[in-house]
Amino acid sequence: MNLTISLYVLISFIIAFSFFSYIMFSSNFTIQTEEPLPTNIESYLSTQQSFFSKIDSSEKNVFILGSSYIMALDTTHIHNNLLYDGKDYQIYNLSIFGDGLQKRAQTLDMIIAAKPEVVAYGIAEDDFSDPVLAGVISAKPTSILPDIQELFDDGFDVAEKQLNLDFPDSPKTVTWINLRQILGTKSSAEKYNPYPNTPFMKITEANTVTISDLELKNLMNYLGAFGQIKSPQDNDYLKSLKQTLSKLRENNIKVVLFVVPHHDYLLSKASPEYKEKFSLILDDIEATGYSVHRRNHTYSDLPIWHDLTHVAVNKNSVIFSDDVSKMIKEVLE
Amino acid sequence: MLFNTLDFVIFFIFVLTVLAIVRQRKFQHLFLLGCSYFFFYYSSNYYIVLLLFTTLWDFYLGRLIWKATDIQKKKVLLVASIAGNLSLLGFFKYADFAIAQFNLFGSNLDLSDHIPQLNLILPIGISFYTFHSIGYIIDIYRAKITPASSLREYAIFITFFPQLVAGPILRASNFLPQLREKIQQVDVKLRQIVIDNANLKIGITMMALGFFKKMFIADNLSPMVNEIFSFPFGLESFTIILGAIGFGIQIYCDFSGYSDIAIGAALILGFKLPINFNKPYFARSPSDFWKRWHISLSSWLRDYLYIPLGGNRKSKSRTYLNLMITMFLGGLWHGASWNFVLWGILHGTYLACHNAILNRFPSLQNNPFFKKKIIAFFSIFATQYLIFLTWIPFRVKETDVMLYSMQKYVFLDMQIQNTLHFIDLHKLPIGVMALFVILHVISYKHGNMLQKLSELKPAYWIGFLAGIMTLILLFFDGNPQDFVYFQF
Repeated sequence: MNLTISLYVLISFIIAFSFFSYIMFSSNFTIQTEEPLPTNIESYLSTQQSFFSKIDSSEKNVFILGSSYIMALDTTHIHNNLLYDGKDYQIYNLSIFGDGLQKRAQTLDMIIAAKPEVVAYGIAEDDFSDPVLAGVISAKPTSILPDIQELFDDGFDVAEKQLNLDFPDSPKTVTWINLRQILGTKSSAEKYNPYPNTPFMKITEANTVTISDLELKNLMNYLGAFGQIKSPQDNDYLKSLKQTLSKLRENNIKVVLFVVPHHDYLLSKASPEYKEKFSLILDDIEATGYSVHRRNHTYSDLPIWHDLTHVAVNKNSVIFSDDVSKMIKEVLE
Repeated sequence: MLFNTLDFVIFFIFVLTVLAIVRQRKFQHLFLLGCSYFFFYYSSNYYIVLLLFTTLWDFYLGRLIWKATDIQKKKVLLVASIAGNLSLLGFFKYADFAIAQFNLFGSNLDLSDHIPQLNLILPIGISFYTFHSIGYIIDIYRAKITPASSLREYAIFITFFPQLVAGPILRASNFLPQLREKIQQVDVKLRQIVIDNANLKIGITMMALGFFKKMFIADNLSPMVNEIFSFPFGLESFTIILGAIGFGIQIYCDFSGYSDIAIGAALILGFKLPINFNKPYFARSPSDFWKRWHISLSSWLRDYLYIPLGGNRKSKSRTYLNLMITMFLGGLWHGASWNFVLWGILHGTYLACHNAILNRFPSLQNNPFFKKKIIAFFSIFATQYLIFLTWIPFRVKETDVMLYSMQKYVFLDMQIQNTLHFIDLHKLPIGVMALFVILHVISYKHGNMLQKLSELKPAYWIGFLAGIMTLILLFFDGNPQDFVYFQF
């Protein structure tokens, strides 16, 4: 083999890898916006830390937590609703794409330190279910024969930990954010910012679209598999939520719990067992002294849907914000 | 094992190192065979049994066909071999599809009982190694080749790891002589697998281009294409066209990228595999397209299906029918689903129509008017408009989504507002598409870019490799994506 050619390849790799590492880790290129990298827990926590450190805890604040299912909650509208009753509160919609109960629990100390008056938490069925792995083309049959690929992956994970390699999960996201910073441009999501105090959600104009009933029915053809919800006593997600609630209670922070709206077409596809287990989980939460506002079936007949799980971000869906405003008012009275 | 993973890079470097160090013919061949089985087992676990079955079945039947003097006996053995191969392929690839169709038919007749689906996992590469084997057997039957001289030789032909899971589809007449050259010339160095300097540089350049096509272009286009075709209802025609073009580029870069890596890897090991793509998006007619797209499959279908059906040797209507049958089966080969059948039928229709026009107006072919640049450009544009239409059924399985998208593609609504907004939201994939078009035009105009790139001075070559690696690393989204053709 020609060693010179091999050397050339090695030099190319060193150049490329050095440049790549520089882009990923250079202090000049750190992520300064409030855009989270949802798949990387370190980035997630540092973004949250950055946000909560700027919160003025002397003000009266309301934090609304949850995943993208609550993105349609209009902070200005809720603020005005409360103000109408003489309650002047800063409303923050802290929804994040794919946010989970266990991940959110890791930011609990930050939330408590910010001393909000109320935490409103939007929960959904899939917050309590184990995720379903998306099908891949190269599905592999399982057998009693050893799985060499798994052994290799395990070995690689161990080596990664030993060497303390901490590359971002998605270099593409980091590159893209850095490029935007260098060019001084903003993403369309940043340009389109319908609601203030909604720092983590990339709301685009696409999210404002309300689709028809026929389109909602069509969407049923593309539903993925539902995950499995474990019973309350074995459900780690529930345990995590209960710990969060208990800590908030200890710190005299009022809590509003509501089940986020999903369209009935979606829920009709879920198995009876899935629905039953979720209902048991809600009962279990209520048994600890919290009332849960069950809004999972409430809005199905209204023309406010962006898809089967998201209410569209527009004026028609203001009913959702009104509803949550009422819940907050209740606990404040 | 996916080419675009660290696993493969380590595996390939290991194979290369051992072959370079241990220069003993028998060991090298056995090592290559062992590595090929390992490569397959790594992703397919016990499905390796199917590969072993195909190898043994066709090796021994091939010998029997060669030895048989009676034509009837030859025919029986040939049918047995093809039936064995197609049974495996049919069972694993088409059983669930057949059951679904049967159940649908049954429900129309109000039959209450449904046959449960088998939910079989498709063995990776089965469509490819089945075609290798069938081609080998038919060539022996036609006395075009002599059977492999040993089981080892035949097993290497079937399992040679660079091409094992997604081609190019090998012909024994091309591959076995390369192996025999090394085996027969016992007294000279050629008998060994020699990692040649020139091959190494061209092979590495080709692999780098393959990785670039797959990991930079195809993988960065896929999210936008998925977004468009996961729910296209309400989208404008131009957005659908954008999706069709995006998918056309994605699948080309995905599959030709895989082929480039396979051919490059084989070349480094001293084996020449046939090219699979030749700038298909510059084709000027449907038949020209099939001379440039997945060449190893289209030539296989021509030699082992179209010509045995009669080709163009019978009546005109029979020629058109043969084209339709060939493309229908070609579509079905891609996947057990009606959308692939529609894709095949569309291509069959294009080919038949093109053939009919040439039959009706034979002077068109040599008419100087059609040699003009502007007309050539128009031919390319018109051909590609039709080709990109076929990518919609290739990409979309759901009938209503597919029909809606095709309708929007054909009957333009002339709305542009939302498409411009969509483009604004998807700058990276749009930029990648523009880059692809520029590179494609450059490679079309400047001929053999591969040769030119591999002949660059060392500093420039290092720059080229480093540039490609950097782009791949920076725009890697953290999850190696499967090659589209792995599902076939």
